[in-house]
Amino acid sequence: MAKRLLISVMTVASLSMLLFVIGFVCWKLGLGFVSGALYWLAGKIMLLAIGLLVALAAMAFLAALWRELRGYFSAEARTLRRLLSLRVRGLNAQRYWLAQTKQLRYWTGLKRKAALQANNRRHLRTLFRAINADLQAVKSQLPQPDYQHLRKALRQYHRQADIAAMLALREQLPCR
Amino acid sequence: MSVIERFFNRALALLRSQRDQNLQWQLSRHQDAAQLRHERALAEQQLAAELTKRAQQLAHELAVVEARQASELAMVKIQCKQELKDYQQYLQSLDKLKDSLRQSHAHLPEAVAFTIHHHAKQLLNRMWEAGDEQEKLKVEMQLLRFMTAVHEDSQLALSDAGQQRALPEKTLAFLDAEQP
Repeated sequence: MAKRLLISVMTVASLSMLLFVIGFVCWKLGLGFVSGALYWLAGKIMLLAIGLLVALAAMAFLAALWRELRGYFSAEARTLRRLLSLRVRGLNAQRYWLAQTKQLRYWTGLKRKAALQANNRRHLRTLFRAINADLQAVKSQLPQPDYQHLRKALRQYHRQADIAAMLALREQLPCR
Repeated sequence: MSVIERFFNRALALLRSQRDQNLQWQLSRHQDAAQLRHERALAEQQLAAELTKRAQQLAHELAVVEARQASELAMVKIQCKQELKDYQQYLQSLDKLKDSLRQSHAHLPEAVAFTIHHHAKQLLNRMWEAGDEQEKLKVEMQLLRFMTAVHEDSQLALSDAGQQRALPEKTLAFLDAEQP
């Protein structure tokens, strides 16, 4: 159908070109009026051919659009799209579940570490007070610079939460 | 009849014969074409039905998986809460153990009590963070033995009311054995 229409349009265009040629021949023969009339007619026919070609292209475009739209909204395509969306939904649900589980475990780990740190801080404070009391008890036995140095070091180790250093410092004290 | 007329007549005859052949061919293939069209329509219907069935099946499977994942997530939440609670209870029981040790050994230096408590906490953390189940069980047994030693020392010190022990010997022996 489209082929036939195209051939028809091309025929009309050919006719127009033929009229142009005849008009040219008439002009060469000195038939000015006939030539003018033929040129006028050929121009109109060419315009008609171009118009028809544009209309044909528009029709072809609309037909293709209609075909594509019909294909897109057909039962098969809709079901296929639904299938694909279900698969994607399944994958997303799996990923979401994994991420949630990971996040839960991460937060639990953080809370556990926070509980441990709080406990460590509490006991470290107790140790610091005990060593500080021991240090105060032997203050008279130690030279003042040594005492000051040990006190400063103890505070520093406490701040740094350096248990080994605090215990080593406790070992250095004369009262044991 | 002029030459042009004859030429046009021949051309028309040729065109007609071509169209006749075409028509004949179409007529001879009409039944096959109709059958093909019918089969194609049937196949399309079958495919659509199959796809619909598959989509329904998949939707059902997805609903089941989502429900299972929701319940598993709830389980993991409960498990995490329980783990945290257990850990906090372990820490509290280790604190109590330290307190009981200090009560039973009145002259126990804080540094020694701290070291014992710290070692117990290290064991607890090793047990908690062990990836392998076998390793976890091994450290758990180690922790239990250590806690038993501390408890026994406390009991022993309390029973020897007259001659109170200065140091928890079993626990310290345990610590010495643990040192690399």
